[in-house]
Parts: sequence; structure tokens; C-alpha cells
Amino acid sequence: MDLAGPSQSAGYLAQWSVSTVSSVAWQELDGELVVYLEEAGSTHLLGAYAGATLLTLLEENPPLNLNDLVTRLQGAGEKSDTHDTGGSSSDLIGVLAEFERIGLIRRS
Amino acid sequence: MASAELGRRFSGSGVRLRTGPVVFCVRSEMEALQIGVRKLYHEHEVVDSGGFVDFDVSIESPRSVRRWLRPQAHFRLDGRLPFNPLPADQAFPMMEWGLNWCISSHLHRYLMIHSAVVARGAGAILLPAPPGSGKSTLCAALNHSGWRVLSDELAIIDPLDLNLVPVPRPVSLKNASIDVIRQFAPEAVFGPVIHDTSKGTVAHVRPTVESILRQDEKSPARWIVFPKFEKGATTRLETLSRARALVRLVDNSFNFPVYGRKGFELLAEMVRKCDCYELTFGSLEEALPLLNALLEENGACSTADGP
Repeated sequence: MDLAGPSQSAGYLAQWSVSTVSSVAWQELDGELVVYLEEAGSTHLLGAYAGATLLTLLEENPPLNLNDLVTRLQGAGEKSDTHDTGGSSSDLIGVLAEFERIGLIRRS
Repeated sequence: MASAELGRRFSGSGVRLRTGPVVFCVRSEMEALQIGVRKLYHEHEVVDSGGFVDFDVSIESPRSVRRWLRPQAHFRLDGRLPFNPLPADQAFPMMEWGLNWCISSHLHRYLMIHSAVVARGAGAILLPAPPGSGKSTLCAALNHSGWRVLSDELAIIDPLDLNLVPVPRPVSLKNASIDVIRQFAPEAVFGPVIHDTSKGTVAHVRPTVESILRQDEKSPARWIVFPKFEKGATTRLETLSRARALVRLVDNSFNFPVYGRKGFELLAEMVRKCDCYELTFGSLEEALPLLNALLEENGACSTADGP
């Protein structure tokens, strides 16, 4: 789903949360994240930025909008040497779109 | 077991063979099947009648005109026919393929990966790969180079301790790999060469005696190597991230959906303890030293584990 262009403002207002936290399992191996979605039975390898994004979403209970996520990720990057949190908003939009496509997150 | 007694059992109560924790009972009056079993399971333990059997199979001629006209063979499991018939001369490979299916479809007390597994010294190498990647060829060559074979097709993982469970059975080779192994290991014992199967020309190689004698010794996974045979390729062994290895193991799993999240956690835990690689190879002579070097790097090779 493309959140850029004419619908960009809608994308910035949308809030995101992990679909069903209890059905998401993840393992970090040598700095990379592998996610297992129990309901879909699918397994995914996440790049560093996508992994950091997912961990941020998992840590936060209320849904987050784009700006919140960017802020949280930047804050996490200042504390962590291992997670890549330096993406732009358009990078984040791409990550969120992919997460939504595979059923990992939902928007509200 | 005496040949005559074996023949009686084939036609009567069945020949019960044990491979690791699996006992299967085979009945058949088909000569092609009996020849294959006699030769390739020659070193396996024949279990006495009366005990528990995991899989009760028979390879039989149909009771129709196909008994004589372009004769066929049926694979029967517990009275059912799960597959279409095959030409009668394919009776032995049919049994082997059928047993692979039996194990991978039913033995869910273990987590199973489509993989060859060989072990030596401190641990085992998993060689997960789809058909045609060269894993069985590597498996047979390693087996005749001092490694014991746990399986050429099924990595069977005990979920209680993550160790690999041996189920050593004949190694299945196809097409050009048959002659490759004949030349590599002239001492290897081959079964009949069968042509025109769905996989081309196939033949099976008996696992070494050591593989069978040690079939009750589980082995921890120590290396995961994803092989890919490419004719003419420059042979290379390249490090693979554990995360990528985990995803590929899941893709190669037979019964991952049965285990779900628990299976994901188990595989991740196993992968954490392994060094992971991709092997692209154009010849056995180039590939084997790279795999043997893994053992030497680990410092686990000892004279006690020699061929």
C-alpha cells in the first residue's frame, strides 16, 4: 500500500500497532531479527531498520503514528549500538507498508 | 539372519528392520524388493516378531492384469495405498521413498528438516537442500570419508535436547552422481540401478557399518551447510548469517507447522549453536576438503573418530 503522494497526510495521521502481539514471535541472531507470525504460519527476515521498527512497536502499548515512531526510533538509536534507527519518514512508510502487507501490523 | 528365514518372513509375518528409533516391518513377495533389502539392509538389525512396529508396509504386485502385463508394484501402509503404483522394477526405490514419506508425515514427536546429516567428532553437519542440490552425493562421499551418516534425507531433531537422531538408511543417488560415487568410493556397496524413474536413474548405497553400529548415538548439530551443485562452478564455502539460516531451515522443514511457535524457538536455539554456510560446488574433490576443514577448525577431529 502506497502512503506517499496525495494520501501522505492520511499516512502521517494513521496509527500503527502490532496485529496480535501474542501471535508474534521473534528471535534476534547476531543483530538480525527473524519474525514468526503464528496465525499466518510465515517467517520473515527483517533488515536492521525494520527490526528496530518492529521492536519499537512491540514495546509500545498504544498505537503510534508516524511522527511518534520516528521520535521513538531516534531515541532508541541514541541508546543502542546495534539497531539501525536512522531511517527517514519515507523509509519508515515503506517498512510499515510491508509490515501491513504481511499481516504483522494494523492501522487504526 | 539366514537367507531362507528371511525369505519366509518376507512372505509371511514380515521382516522387521530397525533404523535408530524407527522400526518398520516389510512384507513382499517381489524379488526386486527382496534383493534390494538383502543387500542394502544387510548390516541392519532384524527385530524379532512381537514387538512394536512404527510402520507396517508391504510392496506387492496388484491382483489385476498388471501383475503380468507391464507389471506394477504397490506400496501399502497399514492396509492403505497412499501412492499410485510404479513399475515393478522400481519396487526397492518405491519402498525407500515410501518410508521417507512415512517418517516425514507421521513421526511428529521429532522436528524434521529436509536435509542430509553426517556426524564426526564433536558434532554433525546438516545439509538442508531441495532435490538436485547435491546433498545426497555429498552425504555418500562424506560417509565414505570417515563421517557416519545419520540420514541422507531427514534431519530428525529431538525437541527435548535438540540433538540429531540417526536413522541411517541407504543413501539415494540419482543420474550422474551414481558414477561419481562409484569412482570416489569403489568399496561402496550399491543396490540395483533402476532406470526411467520419476527422478531419472536411481541407485542406493549402503551406509557404512559404523553408521549403523552407532545408530543409537544422537549428535549435536554443529554446522549447517546449504549445498548447491553447479556444474563448472568455482567451489566456495561462504559464511551465512544465522538469521538467514533459520529462515531457510524453516523453509526446508517437513513438519514445522505442527510445532508452530515452539518449532521456531527450537530451531533458533539450535541455529545459535551452529556455524552456518552456503556451499557452491562443481566437484566433490573440491567440496570435501572444505567440509573436512570445518572439523579441523573446531579442533574436534581425533584418531578415535577416523574411518
